Amino acid sequence: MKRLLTITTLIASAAFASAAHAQEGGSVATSTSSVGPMPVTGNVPAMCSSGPITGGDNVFAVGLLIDTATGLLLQNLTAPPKTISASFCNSRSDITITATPLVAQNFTGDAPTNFSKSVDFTATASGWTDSPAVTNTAAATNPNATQTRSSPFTGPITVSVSNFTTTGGSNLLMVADTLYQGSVTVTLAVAS
Amino acid sequence: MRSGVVIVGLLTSLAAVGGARAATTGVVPMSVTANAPQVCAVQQPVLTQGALVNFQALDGTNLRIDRLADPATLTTAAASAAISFDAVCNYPHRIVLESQNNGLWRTTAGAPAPTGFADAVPYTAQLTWGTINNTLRADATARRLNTDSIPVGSPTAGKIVINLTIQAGDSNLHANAPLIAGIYGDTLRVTVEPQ
Repeated sequence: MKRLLTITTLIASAAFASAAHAQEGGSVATSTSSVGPMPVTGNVPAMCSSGPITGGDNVFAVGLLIDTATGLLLQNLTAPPKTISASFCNSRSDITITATPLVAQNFTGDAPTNFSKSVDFTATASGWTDSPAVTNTAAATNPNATQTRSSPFTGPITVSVSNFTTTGGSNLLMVADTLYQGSVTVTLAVAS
Repeated sequence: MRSGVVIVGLLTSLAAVGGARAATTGVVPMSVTANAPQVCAVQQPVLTQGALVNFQALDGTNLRIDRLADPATLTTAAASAAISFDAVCNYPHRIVLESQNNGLWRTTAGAPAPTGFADAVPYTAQLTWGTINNTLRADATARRLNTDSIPVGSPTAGKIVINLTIQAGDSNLHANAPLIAGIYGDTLRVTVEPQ
């Protein structure tokens, strides 16, 4: 067993000597030499991207809020929906919609007795998931505000606002203000 | 093998650069806007239940005194009524209470009242509107427009209440002066308007 090991070592030494000689002379023909395989790898991170809003700006213009004969909130308030185009998520994703009430921007202080300075509404984002993401600004919690899509997806998202109600009760009157403003935000995010 | 390590390292760097450009979330902010114009509205008057003394029921906007003079003495008889208007003003405004004649005066033109007779009756109109409480004194000292204009600093909704009071014996001459015959009247106007 010991002898055999010695011979093997000797052969290896000879091989190194031969290779060294070939490098020095440069004219000695050698057998094919290869390096590798060299693995080439990469990765695509999970990501989501939202596209632009088509067909207009990012403002839901509701317009006149009140019945000018009574001062009460109109019951037929509406605004054209918005479409977010060219959005994608390349993995499982969450779509989340959040919103804040329409609040009188110039009126200072609390609303007087019998008045309100805020309007609640429902915001909906549909098209991304089977069930739309829905939030209502009057609700304490909005369990349907986030919906999950299990597969990568690209497609339009329709965002709409509806169901406007006077904060504090339908019998309250709206204070005059040239600008009531609220917000809607749609977020696409990689789901865990 | 070393080359392989170099390549992998390069790709990793590129991926990191790519990750910095493309966010992992997409956020689309939108706003919702609307407006509520300035509105003031006053409904038709109604009589406040149980507050009618020597007045007849309200006929539209016409409030008629049942008997202005005591038939025995011809002096002014006491009368009172409370009327209210449902109203709303959704911005700081002004409420104006206006007596066209500054008292109840004879509506028909005629000769001046003979000596010893009165031809006008004072009254008060106490106004309540939100936090405002104001009394217009139509004292009948002269036939003229008498106006109280009161600023109201905040939006107000509810009832404008006016308590009309005619004191027994009051006149534009002296206490307990007899009233000359005739039809007496005044026009009281309530206005809510911008300040």
